[in-house]
Amino acid sequence: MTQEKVFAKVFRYDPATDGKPYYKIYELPWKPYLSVLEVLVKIYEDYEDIVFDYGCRAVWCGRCGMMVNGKPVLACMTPVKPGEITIEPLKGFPVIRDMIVDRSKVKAKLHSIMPYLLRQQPMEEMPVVPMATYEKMCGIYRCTECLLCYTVCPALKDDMKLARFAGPAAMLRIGMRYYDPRDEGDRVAQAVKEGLEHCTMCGKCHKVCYMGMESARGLPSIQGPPGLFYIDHLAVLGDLREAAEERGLLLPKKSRKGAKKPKRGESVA
Amino acid sequence: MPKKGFTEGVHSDKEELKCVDVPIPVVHQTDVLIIGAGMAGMTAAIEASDRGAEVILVDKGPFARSGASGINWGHWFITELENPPFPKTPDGIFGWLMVWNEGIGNQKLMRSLAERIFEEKRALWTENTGSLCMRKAPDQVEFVPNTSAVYNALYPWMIGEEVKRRGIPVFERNMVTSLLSHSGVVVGATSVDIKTGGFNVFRAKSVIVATGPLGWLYGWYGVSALTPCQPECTGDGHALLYRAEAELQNMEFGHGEMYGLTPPTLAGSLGGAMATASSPDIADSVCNKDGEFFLKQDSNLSDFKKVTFTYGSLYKAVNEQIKSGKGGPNGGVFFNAKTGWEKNAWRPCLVRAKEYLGWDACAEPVEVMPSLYTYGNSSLIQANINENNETNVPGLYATGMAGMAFDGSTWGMRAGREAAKRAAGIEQEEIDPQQPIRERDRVYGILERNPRNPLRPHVIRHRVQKLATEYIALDRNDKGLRKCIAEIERIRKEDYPRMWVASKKHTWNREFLEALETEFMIDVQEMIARSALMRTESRSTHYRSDYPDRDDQNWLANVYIKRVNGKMKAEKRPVVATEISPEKIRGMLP
Repeated sequence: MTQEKVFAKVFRYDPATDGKPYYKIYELPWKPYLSVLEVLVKIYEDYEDIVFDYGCRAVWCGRCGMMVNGKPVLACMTPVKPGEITIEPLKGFPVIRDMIVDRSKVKAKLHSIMPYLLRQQPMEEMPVVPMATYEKMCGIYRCTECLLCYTVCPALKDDMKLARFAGPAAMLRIGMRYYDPRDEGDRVAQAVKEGLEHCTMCGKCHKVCYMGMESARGLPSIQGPPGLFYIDHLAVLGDLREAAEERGLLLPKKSRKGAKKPKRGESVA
Repeated sequence: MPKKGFTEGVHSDKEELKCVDVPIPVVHQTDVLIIGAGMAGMTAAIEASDRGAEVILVDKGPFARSGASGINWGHWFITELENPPFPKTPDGIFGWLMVWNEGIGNQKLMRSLAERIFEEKRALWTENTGSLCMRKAPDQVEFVPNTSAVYNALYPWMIGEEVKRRGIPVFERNMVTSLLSHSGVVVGATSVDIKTGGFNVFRAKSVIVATGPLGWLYGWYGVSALTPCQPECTGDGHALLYRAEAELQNMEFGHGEMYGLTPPTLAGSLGGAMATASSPDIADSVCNKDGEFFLKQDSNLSDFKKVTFTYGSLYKAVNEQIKSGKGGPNGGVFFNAKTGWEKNAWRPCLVRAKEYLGWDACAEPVEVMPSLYTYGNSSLIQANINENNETNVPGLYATGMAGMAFDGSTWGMRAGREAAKRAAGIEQEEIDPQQPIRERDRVYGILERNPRNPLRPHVIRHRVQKLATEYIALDRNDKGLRKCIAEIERIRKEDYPRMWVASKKHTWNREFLEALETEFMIDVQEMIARSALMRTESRSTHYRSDYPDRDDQNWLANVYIKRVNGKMKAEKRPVVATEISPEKIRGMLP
């Protein structure tokens, strides 16, 4: 029996020396549970000096986000089938070299929206966070900044300068502090300022998110009461929108008439 | 097809290869320089800046998302907890630590840690940075989500935001290549910027080494070593301390949970099967290739709550199985998820592996091996520091996993304060202007190398890593460890000069980074082997098959490693027993 093979069509580009990006096909032996990350490491070790980044190998760290067959995924847990596969850097971001893209603008945005606690009152007198709020916040805490959601969000309109809409991850952070009873900032007004109206509630960010799945929740831990939490993008965005509409900061959108707000925990697919 | 000879490298007789651009050093001045931006480094930065010091943070990975902290458990002893799993008094914690590290902890440091845990109001501290504790009432903390990997990325992310909010300059993706010193005092460091290939020189009044553990030294399984750590954890800090002639200790103690070996992409990661020595179902889940749950046969091992349960006794049992031919094809034993993971907190990881990769940990038992998360048995300190986190070299502080595996943040706080205090009281020492230039030429000289029989950096580093699997991981013995040291010396003498970097580019040169790390890894692997060779007994996570028992008569002692006249020296010294005498310790231990 001949061994099955993988033909990896890989995006290559170094702006310093290459006039334009090109693709190169590498032929590798296939084996069960071969991942895209493993393919890249193999190419790096045996074929050619190729640049990519990875960390935890278990979708916790969000460092290996890239496009595989046109879809944004984390390379470490994406299986490779025998035959052809296309590996490209994350769409929409400027390429620095091969799979490395410049995420600095989005990262700067994620900081500039002030995800830390805005509080003037003494911390000692802070209100107790109710369990339901705690769960919502802990879900958002799990965002790894892999930025897969930025490649699919239609509200961004491929504008990674984020002048129009701050993007799903930024909205999550604003939402987290909107829920947080200790926070004294006007997070609803902030969300509107950051372009909340442009969000169409299409749910694409939720579908690509590795932390957005019910299964990520798992069982209660042996160490403490809550188990894992997952990110519910539409619930956060919906809550922000509702609050903004209530305060008259945002007009109810006609096009959204049919769209019902999904309940927490409801699958979006 | 692979290019012929690419893995081994290509030698060229052409002279043109030798002209590599060398960047001009950019000099930065600060009061406190912190190397490593994990939990310890970031806490140190915040505490130092609170005390008015100028701080610079240098991190090899992406800031607040890398190393061990990027996937860490974020362990903090929050003593305000309603039902803490740990003792509620300094004495209680001290005693608990004593038993945990089987009598060889530095009592002065452990006392200092135990007291500090109560002094710092850390639940409040974390909340000030924006983190969240679950409270019953404002003064009553009920639950602290204590991990990032299994729960959420809470602490590193939030503390990272606090660092940025304060405007502390962070040099991310910068690998520190050397510490600068002037007449025996550490006065700064040099780093290579991976992003641009630039060369940074830092002048500082005090330097804190707050780097992570050594996980990446522990074997090679396709995409990673057998460790949940991220690729940054190559032990740079340990090597920097060693090269600055600071003393290290307890390098022989590893800290290993059992992680899956297959499939390669999941080996050692949190996505694979795993059993933890502290999980209640370990005896139900770890079996040999015949499906026998061998830990159940030993009453000491079947219940983790018993104090007699130690990593050492676990390794011993596992090693016996493998030696008697009941291990798996990759040299491990097995983990049966069906009998174990229903009760196990790790289940979500396995659910994901099934969902995304299509690999089902439940289908059949998965081969597992003790992996390496930290070094130092979690409660043993690896840099020889005093209770102010100072090393024996003036101006050099250590914390984090390079200094203190257990509760890096508490140590980070003290290190930051003490370093800031020192910086406030002194003038910046001069640095020899030639020293950074020499270091730059050495570093970028790696790109210019054109050896006769070239080897690419990853070939050499895999050789170093595989020594761990063969001689250091499970079955340590005199013969093996001597062989290991001989092989390290051979690699240093023969392989390292053959190292050749294919790409001469400066931006994001992965190979260049690996080349720089490899040199450090060789040093660190030698430290581990030499310490393990010296300790002729089994204790805690150090298991010697030729000395399988604990020897309390001779080994209530620590092994110290220091560079003396350019050579590695290991030295045995009795434990620092300021409170409990060795006689009393012998009576205390199970």
